[in-house]
Amino acid sequence: MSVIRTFKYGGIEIPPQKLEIDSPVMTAFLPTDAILPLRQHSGPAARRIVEIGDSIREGQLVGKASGTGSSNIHSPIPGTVTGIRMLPDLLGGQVEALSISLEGSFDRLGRKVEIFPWKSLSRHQILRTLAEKGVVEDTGAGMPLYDHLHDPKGTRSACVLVVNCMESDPWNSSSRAILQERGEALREGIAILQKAAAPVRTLIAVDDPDSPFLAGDDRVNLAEDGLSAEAVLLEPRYPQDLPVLLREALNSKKHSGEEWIVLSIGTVVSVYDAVVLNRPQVERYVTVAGDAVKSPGILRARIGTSIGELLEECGGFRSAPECIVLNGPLRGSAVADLDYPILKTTKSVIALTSAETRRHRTTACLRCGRCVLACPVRLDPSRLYRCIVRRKISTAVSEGLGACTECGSCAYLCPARLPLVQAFTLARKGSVRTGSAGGRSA
Amino acid sequence: MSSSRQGLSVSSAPFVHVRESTASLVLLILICLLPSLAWSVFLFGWDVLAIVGLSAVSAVSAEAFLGFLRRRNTLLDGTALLTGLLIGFSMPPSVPLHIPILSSIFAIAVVKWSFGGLGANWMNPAMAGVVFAHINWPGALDAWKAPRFLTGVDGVSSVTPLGLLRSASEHAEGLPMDLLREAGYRISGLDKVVTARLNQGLLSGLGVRLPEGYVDLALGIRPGALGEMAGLFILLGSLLLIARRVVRWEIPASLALTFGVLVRIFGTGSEPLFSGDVLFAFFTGSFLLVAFFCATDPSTSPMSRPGLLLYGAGIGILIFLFRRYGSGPEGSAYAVIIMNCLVSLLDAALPAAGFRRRKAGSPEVGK
Repeated sequence: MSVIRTFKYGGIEIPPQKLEIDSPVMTAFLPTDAILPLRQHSGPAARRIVEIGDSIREGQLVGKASGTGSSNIHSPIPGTVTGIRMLPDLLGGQVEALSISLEGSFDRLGRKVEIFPWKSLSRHQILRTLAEKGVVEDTGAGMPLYDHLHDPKGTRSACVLVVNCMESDPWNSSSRAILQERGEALREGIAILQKAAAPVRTLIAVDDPDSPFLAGDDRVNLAEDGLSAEAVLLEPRYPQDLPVLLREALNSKKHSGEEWIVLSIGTVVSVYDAVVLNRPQVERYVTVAGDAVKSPGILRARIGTSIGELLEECGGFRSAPECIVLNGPLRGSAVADLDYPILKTTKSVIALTSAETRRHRTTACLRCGRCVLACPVRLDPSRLYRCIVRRKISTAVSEGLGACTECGSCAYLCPARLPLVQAFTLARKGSVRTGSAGGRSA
Repeated sequence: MSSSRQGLSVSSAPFVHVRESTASLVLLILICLLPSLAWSVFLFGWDVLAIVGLSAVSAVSAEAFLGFLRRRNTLLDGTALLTGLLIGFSMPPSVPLHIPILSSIFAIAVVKWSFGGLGANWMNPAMAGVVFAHINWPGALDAWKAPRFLTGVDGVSSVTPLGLLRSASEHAEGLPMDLLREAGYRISGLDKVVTARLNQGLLSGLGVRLPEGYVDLALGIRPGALGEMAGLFILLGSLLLIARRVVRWEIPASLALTFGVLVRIFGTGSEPLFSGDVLFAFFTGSFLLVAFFCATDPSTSPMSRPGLLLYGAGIGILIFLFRRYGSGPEGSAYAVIIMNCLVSLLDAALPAAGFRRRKAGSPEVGK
């Protein structure tokens, strides 16, 4: 592969972080008390089907999907339901969560692994298995794979499957760890997805020139029966992994009618686990990093383990963290509660020191133009911000507020430390309201 | 939630930032100005520190007072200090001390704060302060003295090369350096030695010959305002600023190109067409200081690349017009503040965001 692709405009270069990615992946201790929110996906919360006092097996269904965007929730550990309480949802609001305390024996852990011959499955059987095992996209909001792949009206003419093997930001190294540990599962997972989605093309997007997918030919053989995919090398440039920019980087014509299904590498491995190993999505790779962490690393942890326990397994804090961020410092969310659990969509726990956050008092905009040069969708963040501050939301909307991907590049670079992304997010939430109220006032 | 117990911050993304802050950018500009200040002290003596210091102190005091009235502490961003410093830099070495003080206060109190302070500047406060001084005390601002180095004595009153050229070219024609020599302009021994060395060494290989006098200009061994003396230091400092992206390269590039081309074609005084002395024009007056440190102030320049190029070109044209046809020898500050006032128009006509440019082309417009 000689061509290194990247998106056209903006983006930022973030200096590499100190995490040693060669350190082997640790398997995290099982949580003695797992906390299991019933919403770990994009849609409505799953319906709880267990009560306090119920004893449950490892991998047992405890929350049933209720509608589009919702997904099944399984217990990561065997034990007893000891409590049901409300927990703040990272996407806003509150969500019901089960506390399960570890008890009894494991049905799966330590047993012989049975390989299911998936090739005899039909497309619908695969999709049904994925829905049953609660497989959701393991980044972003967590769209259930069933919703991603099934095509109820049969309107999809063609789709392109993209497996994103890139790191979302320099703090994260889970993708590399998954490639090292689960390379075979990944290949077979892609083959399963090819069967389930019948894409016209399959692309594997990598940002590491040493990636095993780039060895030799640019065709990657997935399984012995001739299934293959194309590997494409992209420049590690933030925010490379946004689907919009990925399409731009890979030169896809916008109106070609192709639907792009972009799945992260972890999701593909979960597909393999669900279909071949008959395992629900109860485990994931989590990067624990940040300067405040004593020995950063990548852990394979059960869903429901608290972030405090993971931080402790990484040696605890070296210095007092200023904030603890889930899912990366550029797009993630801060948590104040170390008891907050790992969800299906938690890719990293980053404990940042004040030397890393470099927060300062906000000053007036200098009009330096860094935000404009950094915006990958070619907005003028400083201008949008000014509109929003002056409560001219409709002007901001007509100047492209809706196109903002909230990647955080502008706010990362802003020397005046303007809360740009925060303003955009608030204005968009508000502009939905003004949009509906606009009819009333008109 | 236990946010207070564990003392963790729960603001919103992004949680990490680049190293540069407003204060650090201003600090870098201040550092780039320090060599010029030191050189000025060497040339004119300790009085320089009094002028520049008082100018800076009064600007900072005005900022502090107005900030106190508006309940906003804006001192730490350093912009007031920079404004004061630039005003001090534009003063002649023998200026009465009340002039820099009053100009700095005017710049901060009237120009900067009347429209809301940093971020709402409608013209560069430093340049407005300089223009204020020029309008109110034209005599005091046109009283120059030669560097100690040149005369051996301190405080010999003199004329700047530009002023001398202006009077000389009224009754003679020719290249600026020739006219100056005829008018009795002194060239230092250092210049003679360095020019001779350059001509024997580096330049002989290139087949060009540097006339005497230019080394003096580049090193500021000539009468002039405090901060504009060492053109060489200003150029080096601005290279650092451009490399660190503190200033956008588009402004000085288009400014220097436009000004240089116009000077080459039309000259600055009485030389024949297409034989103007660009080097002389660059290294005299406050051209370099204005082009690299004042015109480049981001808060009073456009945001888009075409806007920046036009803005720089506009300043270049105006400086040329003021120098060639204006009544005073120096018009750079006027040129900058005139173009400052056009920035909002440039921004409206040439939006910085590609999104708006695309959108402007399509008929579909939001309600």
